[in-house]
Amino acid sequence: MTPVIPAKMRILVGANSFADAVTALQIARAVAAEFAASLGGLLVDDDDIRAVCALPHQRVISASGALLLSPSQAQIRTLMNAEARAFRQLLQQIADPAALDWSFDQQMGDLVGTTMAAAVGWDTLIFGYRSSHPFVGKVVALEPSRPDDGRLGALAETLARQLQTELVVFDVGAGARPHPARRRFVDPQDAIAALNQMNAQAVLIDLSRGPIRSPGSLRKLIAAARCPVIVLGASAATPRVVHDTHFPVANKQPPRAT
Amino acid sequence: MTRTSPKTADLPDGLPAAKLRASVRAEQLGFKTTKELSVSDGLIGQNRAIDAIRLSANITDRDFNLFVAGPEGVGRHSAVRQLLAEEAARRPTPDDWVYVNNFETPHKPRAMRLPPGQAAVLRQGMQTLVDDLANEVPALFESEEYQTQRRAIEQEAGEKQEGPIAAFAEQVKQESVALLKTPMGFMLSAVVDGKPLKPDVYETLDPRQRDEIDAKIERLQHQLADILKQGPLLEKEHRQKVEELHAQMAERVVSLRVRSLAEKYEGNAEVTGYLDAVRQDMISNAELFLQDGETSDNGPFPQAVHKFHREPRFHRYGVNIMVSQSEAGTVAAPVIFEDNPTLNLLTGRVEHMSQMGTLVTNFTLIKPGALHRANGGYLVLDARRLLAEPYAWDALKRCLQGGSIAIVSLADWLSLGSTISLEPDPIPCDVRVVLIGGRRLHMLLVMLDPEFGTLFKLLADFEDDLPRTTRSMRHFARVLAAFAARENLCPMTADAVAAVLDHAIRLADDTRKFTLQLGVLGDVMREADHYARAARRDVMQDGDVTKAVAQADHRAGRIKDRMQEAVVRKTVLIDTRGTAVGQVNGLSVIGIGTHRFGRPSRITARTRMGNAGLVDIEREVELGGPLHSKGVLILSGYLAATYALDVPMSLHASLVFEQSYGGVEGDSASSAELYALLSALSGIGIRQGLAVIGSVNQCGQIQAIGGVNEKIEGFFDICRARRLTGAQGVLIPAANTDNLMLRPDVVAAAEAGRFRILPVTTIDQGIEILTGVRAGKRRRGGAYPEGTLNARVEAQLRAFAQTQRLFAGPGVPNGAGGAE
Repeated sequence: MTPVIPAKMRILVGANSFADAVTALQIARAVAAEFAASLGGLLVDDDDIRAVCALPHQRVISASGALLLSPSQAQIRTLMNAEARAFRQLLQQIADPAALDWSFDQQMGDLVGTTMAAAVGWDTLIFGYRSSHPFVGKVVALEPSRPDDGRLGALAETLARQLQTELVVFDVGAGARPHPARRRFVDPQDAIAALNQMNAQAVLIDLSRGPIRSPGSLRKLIAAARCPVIVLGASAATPRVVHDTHFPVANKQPPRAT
Repeated sequence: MTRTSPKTADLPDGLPAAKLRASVRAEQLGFKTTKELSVSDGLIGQNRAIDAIRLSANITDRDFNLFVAGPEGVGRHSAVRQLLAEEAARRPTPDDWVYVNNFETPHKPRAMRLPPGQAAVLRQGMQTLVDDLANEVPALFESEEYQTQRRAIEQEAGEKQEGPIAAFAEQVKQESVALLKTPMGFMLSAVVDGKPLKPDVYETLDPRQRDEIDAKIERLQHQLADILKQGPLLEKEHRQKVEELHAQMAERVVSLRVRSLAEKYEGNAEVTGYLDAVRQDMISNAELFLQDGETSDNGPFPQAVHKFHREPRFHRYGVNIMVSQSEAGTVAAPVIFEDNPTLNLLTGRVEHMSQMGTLVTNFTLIKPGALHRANGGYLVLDARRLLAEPYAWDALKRCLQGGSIAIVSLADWLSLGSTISLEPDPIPCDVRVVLIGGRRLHMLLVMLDPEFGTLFKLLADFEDDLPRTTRSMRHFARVLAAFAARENLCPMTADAVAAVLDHAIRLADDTRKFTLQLGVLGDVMREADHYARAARRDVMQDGDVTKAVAQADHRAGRIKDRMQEAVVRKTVLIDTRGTAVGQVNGLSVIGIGTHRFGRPSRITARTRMGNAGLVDIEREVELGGPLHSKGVLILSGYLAATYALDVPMSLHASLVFEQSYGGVEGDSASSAELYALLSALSGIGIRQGLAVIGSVNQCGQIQAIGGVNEKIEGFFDICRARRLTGAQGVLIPAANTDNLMLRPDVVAAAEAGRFRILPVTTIDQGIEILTGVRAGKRRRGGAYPEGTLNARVEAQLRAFAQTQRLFAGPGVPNGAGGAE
C-alpha cells in the first residue's frame, strides 16, 4: 500500500542566498499545490562568509568561472538586502496562486544551525543549493533507518514524478522496502561519498529516523549533494527551546510582507 | 439694318420627302416577328477586328498582345469574351502554381509548378502529413526508448559536470580549505580549527604561513574557475547530443511519412526536392511537434482528429495555392476579366497580419493576382482603368517584358515599407493580355509610351458602323433578335425592328450605314419592351420603339426647349420670315451629354471701305475656335479671288454670331457667313425663312458638314413654333443628302410643301436661293452681267477701292473723307 503524505505540510525553505533559494523554492512549488499548507522562507546571512570576505587577496569565483574581487562589508549588506527582497518576492509568487500562508525572515548565523533552530513547528525543511548546470539530476532518498509511515518514500516518488526524473533510494544498513533503483551502503559516510559523485536534483532525508541525524552530518550531506536537501522530522530532532524564540511562528497567521 | 424688298424669285421645291428619311421598310426584313429568326452571334460588321483578336489569341509570340479599340457600346467586350473563350477551349489546361516555404531563406518563398489540379492534392497531402506527425512524434518521444536514451544523455552530462566538482570538493577538504557559497559565487578559505579562517586569526599568522595560505587559496581559486568554465562547453555538448537524439528519433517516422507522400510525385524533381527539404526541416525541428498547441480546446472530438495543420507553428509546411485548375473547375485555358486592375489585384500581393502590435507576414499570406489566374490563358483589362491605377501599367509591362510575375507591393515600390516583407520567387508568365479602350487612348499610348508598341503589336479596331445592304440589314435584324432573346425582351415585330434600324441609321449619321453602337440600340429596345409590357402586349411594336426614342429625346430636351423658348419669345433674335441685308440664319449643334440638338444663330455682316480686311469678331474676343477662324479666313480668299481682281482689296468687313456668348467652333457656318457678307456688299436682302449650313472652300464650293439632321430639325422646330409658311427651309450641302434621316414630322411638313430642304453645291447657287437674285457668271470680257448679285458685289468693292485710292492720293490731306 502506498503511504499517504499528510495533506497539509508546513514547508520552510532555508538558504544563504537567493540563488540557493531558487532551486529549493522550485521544489517547494512542485509540491506546494498538492501538499503544502504554509510556506516559510529564511535567508541566513552567514557570518563566516562576511569574515572570509574581509581576508586579503580573496576572490569570488562566479558560476561562469570568472574571478571577482570579494565584496566589502557594505556591499555584502546591500547585497543581502537585495537577496532578501528577491527571496520574499519569489516566495510570495509561489504561495499566492496556491492560496498558501507564507512568511519570511532573515537571520544571521550558520545555515544549518539557524534553520534547524527555526524548524520547530515546520513539517519539512528544504535547504537551498544553487544549480551549477542545467542537466537533470536524480532524486535521492535516504531510506530511514527506523521504520516510518512511508511519508519520505511517498514524497520522494511524488517529487521524482513532478521533476520528471529518476528516483534513487540509498539504503544504509538494514534493507527495507524493495525499490527498482536501490543502492545499499554500509554506513552514512559511504552514502555521502556516493552522493558526492552523483548528479542529484534533490535529496530527501528524515532527520528524526536516520541515518542522518546530527546537524554535522547534515552539513556534510548538503555539501556532498550540491543540490536542495529536503529534511523531514527536523523539528523532532531539534532540542526544544523557549517558544518565543521560534521563528517563524508557524502556528500563527504569518505576517504578510508589504 | 435696312430692310429691302428683294427681287423675287420662286423658291426651289427642295428635296422630295423620300430623300429626307431613308427608312427601312419592314417588308424588306423578311419576317413578321423576331421569333421566326435564327439567333446570330452578335458579331456583325467587325471582321477586321475579329481577325485581329483571333490572331492575337492564336499566335505564339509573346509580344502579340492586343489592344481592342473602338467606341463604347459596339460590343467589344462581348466579342472579346466570345472569341477568347472559343480559342481558350482549344488550348491546353495550364499548370497549377503554389508557393511553399523556403526553409533556407524564408523571406524568399519558393514557387513550384504542378500538373493541372495537383496543387490541391499536394496541399491535402501536406496537411495529412502534418496531422499524422503531430500525433505520432509526441508518442515517439514519450516512448520508453526515447526516455531511456534521454536519461542516459542527461546522466552522462551531469556526471561530467559533477565529477570535477566532486573531486575538487574532496581536494579542498584534503587541503583544509572550505568551499563557501556567497550570493555572488563561490569563495575558498583556509580552515583553522574546523572553521573558516577569520581575519583576526589571519593577522596573527606569521608571514610565511600567510603566504602559503594565500598561494594555496589562489591556486584553488584558479582551479575552481577552470572547472566552472567548462560548464558552457559541457552544456553545448549536451544540447548537441539531445538534438541528435531528437533528430534520430524523428527521422524514423518523418522519413517514412514523407517518403510515402513523395512517391506520388516521382519524376517531379521540383516537388520531391521540396519534400526532401520538408523532411530535413521536420527532423531538425522535431520539437515543433512536441509543443502544446491548441490541443486542449478540442471540444467533443478526440485528439486524433485534431487539425494540427491549422496551428500557426505548422504553417511553415503549408502549401499556398496561387492558381489551381481544379479550383477553377475548367479544362481549358483561363479567360480572366479583371474589372479592377489595381497593382495588387493585378500582380498579387503579400498581406500582413498584426502580432503583438507588429505587422508580420509569411508565404501563406501571398495572394494571387489576375496575372496568376490568367497564366496560360488570356487576361482582359480595361485600358483606361488600368492606366488610372498607380503603377499598375508599369507592373503589367514589367511582367510582360520579363516573362514572369513578380509580386512587389506599392509600399516596396515607393520604398515606404517599414515592416518585414517577402520576395517571392517570380512565376513564369505566359499570358496574352487584351486591353480594351478607345482609339484616342491607343493613339496616346503609341505616341507617349515607346514600350507599348513593342508589347502590344496588334490592334483590333472596331467599326463604328455597318454598310447598309439588304443582307447586312437582315443580319442586323437577327443580331437585334438575339439581343432581345438574351435580355428576355418581348419578341419584336418587323416594324419594330425596322424602327430600331431607322434609329441605327440616324445614329450613324448616314443613310447608307447602320451604327454598331449595340449598347445604345439595346437601351432603346429595353425601354420599348417596358412600354410594350406596360400596354399588356407580348410583342414589341414600332410604336414602342418610336416612343422610346422620343422619350429619350424628351428627357434630354430641357435645355433645347429653353433655347427654343428664348427664340420664340424673341429673347434671342431669329427672323423666320421677311428679308434682311447682311443677315442670315446659321445653324449649329449643341451636345449635352449623349443628346444633340440644333439651334439657329443669327449671323450678320457689316462692310465699309478700309484696309482691315475681314474682321471675325468671334476670333477677336477669343470666342472662336481655330476651325471657325480658318473658315472665316477662307472667305477672305474667296472674296479676293472672285471679285474686283484688278484693284486692291479695300474692304473692312465684320462678321459676328449675334447673341452668342459661348465659344464658336467648326467651319459649318462659313457658307452662311459668306452669304451674309455678299448680302451686305450687294445690299440685297436674304430670305430669313431660310437657314444655311455648310462650309465653303476658296473656290466657292459648298462642303459637307456634320449633324445635318439635328440642325435642320432645330430650325424646323423654331419655324413650326412660329407657324410654317411654306417659304421656310434649310440650305444644306448637296454632299449631305445621304446623311438625311429626319424626323417623321419634318418629313411630313416637307411632303406637304410647308418646309424645304434645299441642297446646294456652290455659293452662287445658294445666294440665288437666299436672295432670289441671279448670282451671275463673269463674262469673257471680265465683267459680271448687269443686275446680278455678283456684279453688285464687285461694283461695291471697286467703289471701296476707288475711294481708298482717292483717300490715299497725293495732295489730298487726310484722305477724301478726312477732316479739313
